[in-house]
Amino acid sequence: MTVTAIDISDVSFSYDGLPVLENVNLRIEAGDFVCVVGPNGGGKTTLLKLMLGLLQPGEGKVSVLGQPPHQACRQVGYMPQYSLHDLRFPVNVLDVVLMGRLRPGLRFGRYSQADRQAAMDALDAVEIADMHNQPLAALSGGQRQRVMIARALAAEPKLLMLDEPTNNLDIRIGEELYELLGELNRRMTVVVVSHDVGFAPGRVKTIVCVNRFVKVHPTAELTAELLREVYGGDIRLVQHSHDCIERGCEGGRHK
Amino acid sequence: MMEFFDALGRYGFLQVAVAGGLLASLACGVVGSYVVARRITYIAGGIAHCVLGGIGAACYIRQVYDWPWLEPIYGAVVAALAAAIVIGLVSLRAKQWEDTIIGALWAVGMAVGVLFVALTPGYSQDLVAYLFGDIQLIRPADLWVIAVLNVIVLAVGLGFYRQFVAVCFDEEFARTRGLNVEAYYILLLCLTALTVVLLVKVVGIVMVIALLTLPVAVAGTFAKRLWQVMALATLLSAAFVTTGFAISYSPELPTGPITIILAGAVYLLVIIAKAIACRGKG
Repeated sequence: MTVTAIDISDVSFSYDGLPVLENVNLRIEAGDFVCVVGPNGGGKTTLLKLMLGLLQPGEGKVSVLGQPPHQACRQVGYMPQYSLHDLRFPVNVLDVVLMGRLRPGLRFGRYSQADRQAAMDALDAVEIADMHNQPLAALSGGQRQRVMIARALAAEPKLLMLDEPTNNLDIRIGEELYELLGELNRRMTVVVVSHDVGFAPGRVKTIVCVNRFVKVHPTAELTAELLREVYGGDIRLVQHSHDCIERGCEGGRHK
Repeated sequence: MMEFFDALGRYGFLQVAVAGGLLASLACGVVGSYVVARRITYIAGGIAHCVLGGIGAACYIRQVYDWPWLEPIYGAVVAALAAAIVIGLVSLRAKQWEDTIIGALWAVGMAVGVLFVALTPGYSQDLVAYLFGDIQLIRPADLWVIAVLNVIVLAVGLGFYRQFVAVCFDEEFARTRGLNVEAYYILLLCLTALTVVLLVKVVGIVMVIALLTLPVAVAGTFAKRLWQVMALATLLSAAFVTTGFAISYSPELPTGPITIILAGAVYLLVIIAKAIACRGKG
């Protein structure tokens, strides 16, 4: 029996009357590794924020792990976009990862020993436990992304959602990051928003294409035709992804 | 300066003043660190200037309606909290109006205060003390208010350290962890308001932002975690306040400005030293 991790039915969303998503139906099974792709401004991040409960749908219903998103938050790990962090903020790696241990109903006091242990375990899982005392600003871009993944993991989530985790990373580091996500996918459902499908060959199981409307494809079906349909007539993209498929790897890359 | 320490041993009012300054430094270091980390210095400035409205209103009511128990600092607390809540709600609900609203409150608060003080017989001398601070005017009765406010600010500010750090560092993530981000933001602004009231006694309304941010800025160049910044900023602001007081005592210079110039000079030296050290390394 498969369990549904995310169930979105008949959802529409608009910013100030401008439709961003229309009539979206999407079901993600537990254990899936989903890559949400689409052009900039196509509604990828909006879709993610609806799943996180950061935005409320204008119409329709979003359900995460069988609950409304804001109630499911304890079981969801989230990694926001890279550019959002202020590197002058005085925190070290462990401080950041411990934020993943926050939960509703938390009152006065300090993090418990169990919280610290969970944070260290999360750092172990992303293979940077030895850096837990380093200031965040001292880390490389790839290491910082790992810290943010560890912070999401510290919540011991069943579902991991990441927004553009490979932004600003070079290709090798990006591929290592996807390798890590593939590893984590053995334990939990993974949803990645990316404009860069190319990092994911072999690991991503489902591609969700978002361009105001949403279409779902198992990665095996991903073709140049399909990408053309999603991205419009972006010739460079289509050729690039076509090359990719001819070489036997699934997925396409643009930009 | 020696003369100051001599006098400090002899005069009770000086001891009260120094005690008040040291107490205010505690709240200043803790809340100042949040204010700088969350980059809401401008909001703190707006709240500080609204305080004058509250002080003026309290002075007026006290005099005209003969309510001798109504200390100006009570008016300051009410005005500061009201300004914090208004600015907080605007910043959450209508972000695009935030700087306009802060600017408006900033000026209107001042204007209301100046008017009330002008209408109150015998208070115009005090106006200068509130604007530019006069640590020597701290009386034993004020010390109690300062102590109580301090306990509240420190208990809440340190008790909710985890939540405040998370909300200041990454609001969106904190929201996905189920935290009531809006409530913590407003709470942080209220703590800022109470801290501003404490500091008004020491350096005056006009220079509050400097004492709230300069020790933190200096501390931030050395400390790597927020609680370390808080501890160091507390020590620094205590040092600035006492040294500023000591320097200004014998030549009878105004204490607030000396304190701020001292803090500014130390910050300048630290960033110059840091730039030279970095160049040496690079």
